[in-house]
Amino acid sequence: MRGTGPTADESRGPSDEELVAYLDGELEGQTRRELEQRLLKDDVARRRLKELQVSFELLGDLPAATVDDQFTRSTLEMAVLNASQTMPTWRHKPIWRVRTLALCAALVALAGLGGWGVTELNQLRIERSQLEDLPAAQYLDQLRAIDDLELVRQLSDDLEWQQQMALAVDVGELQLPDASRWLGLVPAEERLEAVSMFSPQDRATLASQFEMLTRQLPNAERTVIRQRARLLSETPAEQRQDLLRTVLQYGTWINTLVANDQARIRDAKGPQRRAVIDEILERDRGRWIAQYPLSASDKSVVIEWMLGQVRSAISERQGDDAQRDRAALEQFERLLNERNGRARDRASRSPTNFGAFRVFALWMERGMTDAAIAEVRSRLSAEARDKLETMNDLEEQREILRSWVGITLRDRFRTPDASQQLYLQMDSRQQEQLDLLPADEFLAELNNRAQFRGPMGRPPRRPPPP
Amino acid sequence: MLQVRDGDAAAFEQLVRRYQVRLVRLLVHLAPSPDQAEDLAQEVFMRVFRARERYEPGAKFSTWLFTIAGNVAHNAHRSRSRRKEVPEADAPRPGGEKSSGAIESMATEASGLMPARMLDRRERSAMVREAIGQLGDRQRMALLLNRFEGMNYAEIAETMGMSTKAVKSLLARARVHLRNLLAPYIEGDGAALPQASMSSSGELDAV
Repeated sequence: MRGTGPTADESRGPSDEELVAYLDGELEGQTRRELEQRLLKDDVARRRLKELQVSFELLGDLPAATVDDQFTRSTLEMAVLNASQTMPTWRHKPIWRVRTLALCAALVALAGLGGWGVTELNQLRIERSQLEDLPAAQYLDQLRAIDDLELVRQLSDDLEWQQQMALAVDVGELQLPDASRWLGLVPAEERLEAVSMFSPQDRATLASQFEMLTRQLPNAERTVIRQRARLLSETPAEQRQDLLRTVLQYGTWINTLVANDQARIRDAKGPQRRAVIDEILERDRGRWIAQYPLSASDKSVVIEWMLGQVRSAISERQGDDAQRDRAALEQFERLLNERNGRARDRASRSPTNFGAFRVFALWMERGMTDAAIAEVRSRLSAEARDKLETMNDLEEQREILRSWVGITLRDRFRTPDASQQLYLQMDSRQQEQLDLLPADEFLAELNNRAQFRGPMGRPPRRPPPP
Repeated sequence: MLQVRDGDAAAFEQLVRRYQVRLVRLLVHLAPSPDQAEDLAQEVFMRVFRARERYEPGAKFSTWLFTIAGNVAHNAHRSRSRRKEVPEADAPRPGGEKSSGAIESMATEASGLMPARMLDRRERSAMVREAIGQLGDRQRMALLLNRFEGMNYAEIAETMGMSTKAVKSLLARARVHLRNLLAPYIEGDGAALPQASMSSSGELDAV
């Protein structure tokens, strides 16, 4: 056995460097031939060579690295977010709002990347027998997420589930694939032709998922996914479309959840699983409704309603504060009219929005009585009212209305959300300091603070490696 | 990579899928701790993504990728070592002097009581991992690129920013060091205790 230091044999024989280079095929010509001659005669050199080789080959005993699909997904998500640049957000708000912004960032980024080229499916050299796999590949993410087809069958008949999913689609939380274009509905020999009708993006997605299914998934999982796709395609035609739609809803929805929620659902069995699903849906409903895109007339309703309350609040005030608030209200209304009446050119947008900030702050200070909620509810369109009334609790309705007003103001005045929130967080002295700034400096200063200071910084990044 | 540089999102996904396992396999041994490997691999991919527009064809992409991986791992070690003195990059890690003994005792524990017993793969793997951990950072990187990426000396040199001659010397030191660390685990005739990886009709017979 060998110790840790070089032996006398080593010092007399070929150098370690020569032996290693020989093993690595990096020794050439005369040097190689000389070493080979030496090895034929020299037992010690031969033993050293063998030890070097064996110890090197022991590296083959190291376990193979594995990477799950979550790693790939999160890497790609990070890239998408990276491409979108960082978005200002705030940390003290409920997590759903932060997630909303992250989602927006991802969507913005995806839109920005829309011009990217795509990988064509036909680059994959699909064998005819592999055409059978296209339906499973097409909705791979969803089929991987479905581990209880019976539950999905139940959900497909559940009106409440369907309404929740419709809401999620309405607010852009879920983007469901088109169930009517499923390749499982197309005979195998016509599938490539059907694929050629897909958009380049859809073809690229299909290509990537096909690659994943056929080459990267473990055999056992691939078999299960094929079985699920087959079960779906063998479902009687009259039930198939509903079932497929629910598979896409459920699979897509599950994939939007945070890992902890996914694990809770996965770990729950039987009726308990349904209970967990309902609990998560209940929790998310408020977030989805808060994002509900109001129609133009509903936006006007909520702004007018908010202004009415602010006017009342100001009329009850006296002194310098009241004067300043009245000035802010006047400015706000003037800007509002400009936006309603004129083209939204840059010049009309650029004057400060501080009136809007001040007015919003006043409204938030005033609070929202039950009667005020009833009033706005009666003025909203049936559709928006329906969404609002989905929340039974008045406090939840308050939160939704705050969100609708905030989002409408932000959109109307192109106000970054983080800036709006920062202003609301400031005490009156800080607000006043800002209000006194020249109009063209106001927003710049506020944005600057929102981005670089205070409780609201840039969105949290992945921590750097230690 | 050229497609990624030109803005092909699908190509970036393909690139991640193609290299992720190889990258993690390397970083498991280069990272300060194995459980950081995935985080560092993501950091490497992000750097590639951010630098995509600056990518110049010429060198192999994998060379560029593993150069970045080496830098990321190096930075991770540096961040970790800020509070203490950083060992020389090519020097064995702290505790290296005792490492051979540690491995020896592992080997004894595993096989000493039952000399005829063939060690299972998991035990061998633990010993080899321990041995690799005792190598200096640069030795370890060169060795892993050589063994797992099948890189020749010129490619390793390019990846690690060294001359080919320096790589030759570095790899020789690494291999000798590895052999010494695993000495308790290799029988006198050069065969590994469990199942000799090299048959008697191997390369030597061809000499």
